[in-house]
Amino acid sequence: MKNKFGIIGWGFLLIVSVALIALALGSAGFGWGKDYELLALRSPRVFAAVIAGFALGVGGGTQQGLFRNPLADPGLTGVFGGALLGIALLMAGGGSWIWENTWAISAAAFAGASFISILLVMVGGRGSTSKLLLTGLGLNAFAAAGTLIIANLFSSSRDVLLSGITGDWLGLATFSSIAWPVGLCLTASILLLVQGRALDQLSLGEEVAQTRGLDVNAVRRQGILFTALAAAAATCLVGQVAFVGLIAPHCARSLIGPRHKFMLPLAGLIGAILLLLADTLGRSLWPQTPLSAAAMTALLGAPVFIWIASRHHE
Amino acid sequence: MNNVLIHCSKLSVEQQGSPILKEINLEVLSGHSLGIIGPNGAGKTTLLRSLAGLIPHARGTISIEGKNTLNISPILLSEFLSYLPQNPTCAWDFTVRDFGELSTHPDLFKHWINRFKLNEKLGSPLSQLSGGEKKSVHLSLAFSLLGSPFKKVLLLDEPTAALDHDRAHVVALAINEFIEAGAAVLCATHDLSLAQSCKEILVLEAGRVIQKNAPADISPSELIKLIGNK
Repeated sequence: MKNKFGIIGWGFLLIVSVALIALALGSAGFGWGKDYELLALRSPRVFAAVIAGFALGVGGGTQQGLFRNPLADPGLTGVFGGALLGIALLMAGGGSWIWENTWAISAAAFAGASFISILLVMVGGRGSTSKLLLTGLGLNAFAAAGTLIIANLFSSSRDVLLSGITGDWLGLATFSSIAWPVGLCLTASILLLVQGRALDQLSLGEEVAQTRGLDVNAVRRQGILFTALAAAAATCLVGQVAFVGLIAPHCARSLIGPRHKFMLPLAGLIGAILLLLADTLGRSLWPQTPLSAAAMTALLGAPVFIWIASRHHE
Repeated sequence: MNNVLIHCSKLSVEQQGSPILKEINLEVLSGHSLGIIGPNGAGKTTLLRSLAGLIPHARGTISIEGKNTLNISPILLSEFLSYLPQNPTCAWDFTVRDFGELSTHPDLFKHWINRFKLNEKLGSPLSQLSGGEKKSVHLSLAFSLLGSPFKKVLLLDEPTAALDHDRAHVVALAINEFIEAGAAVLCATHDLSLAQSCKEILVLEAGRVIQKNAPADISPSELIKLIGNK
């Protein structure tokens, strides 16, 4: 038990260290700039990456716990796609009004993510891994197509939506623009972290959990809703970014064991470190042509996904 | 005098239009164990799942300690019973110790782990245990959930499947201890000796009760035939 708290403590230390490096590193070189101007410029981006990564790690761990499936990830199951489609629909109908009411972007993302999550549960939630992932694949394609059509029809929102699809919104972060999604990410993460014990009971199967007094439907409903909220708020900060929600819980389980009570907070910390590293490397390695955080996480995540899939026998 | 703990009246279950249980009437007293036998597909598992509140579309009445439990919330129902499914699983590679932390009575869990001679494997993940050892861990959890003071009903579906002789004997002893303390234990089984150790045997065939007798009233050869091991 002491060891588990120790690992989480080390995770905190690591994230603070990586955040300090990320604040000092960028296309303008190493340092915080004259009068800390570079620090002020990078702070919202670093803060947004940490909070979004944390929410993605916790959300991914929760989705895997709910579906009892190590390959579940809000990115791969279409939830991010749904969030982006919600934002696209708002941009198509909202005009310039939305830029003065940024809460509406978070609300639209949440509506889109919830819609896709409900479809995912209805169609693929109670079957095999393949059924879940294939359903997610279809929903992701559907949401991406919808977003692309809107981007094509409404030229005013095209660039913003395309950079959202490629997970490139961290560069737009300012403290005023990230306030709502950061608040929602933190709220969703806290609501998900307290579900750890229920998810542990669910690990033994829905029927057994029910006979042990767990209101399985309520846990599923809340888990899906709060995961959608975490994914939607993270999408508002980063855009679409797959694999963080897949890799982070997997690493956390290897380090601390599968109990959700400990695994979820560590998955959040690992998610935060991953996304922050991906963003920092993406903008620092090739300063003239920076890579989005999503491209970097995909580079890291795709091999891990294939490795987990090859180990996971149905 | 023993009380009626479980009372079922005209319990019927249909799945996709096919009847699985047909008007089952049943009473189990506290301090009694009931072995439920019958060939595959007779309805044994469905009967246990109905009693555990897992089949919401079941018709008829089920009451435990006089309270109607057919449409009761899972939280309330869990106060009465502990249930072990036929094929217990765990989605993640929990250690034996992790299982103990899932129990409301970790001390009792450890007691049963000791009885199953798994005390040296507390730190082992499930993936490193044999099939029988895994089953023993799930049994320890189900037994520990009866708690102290006792919940009244223990539902076991094939509790000795995959167990060696010694561990199957621990299960039989455990059932005896529970009924002596006033519980009612129902176990669906294909295990002849476990069925014979129960106070009564209920024989199901095609969803109907065709016999309910003390084991001494059924000859071993007939029992083997009824269990489905022709």
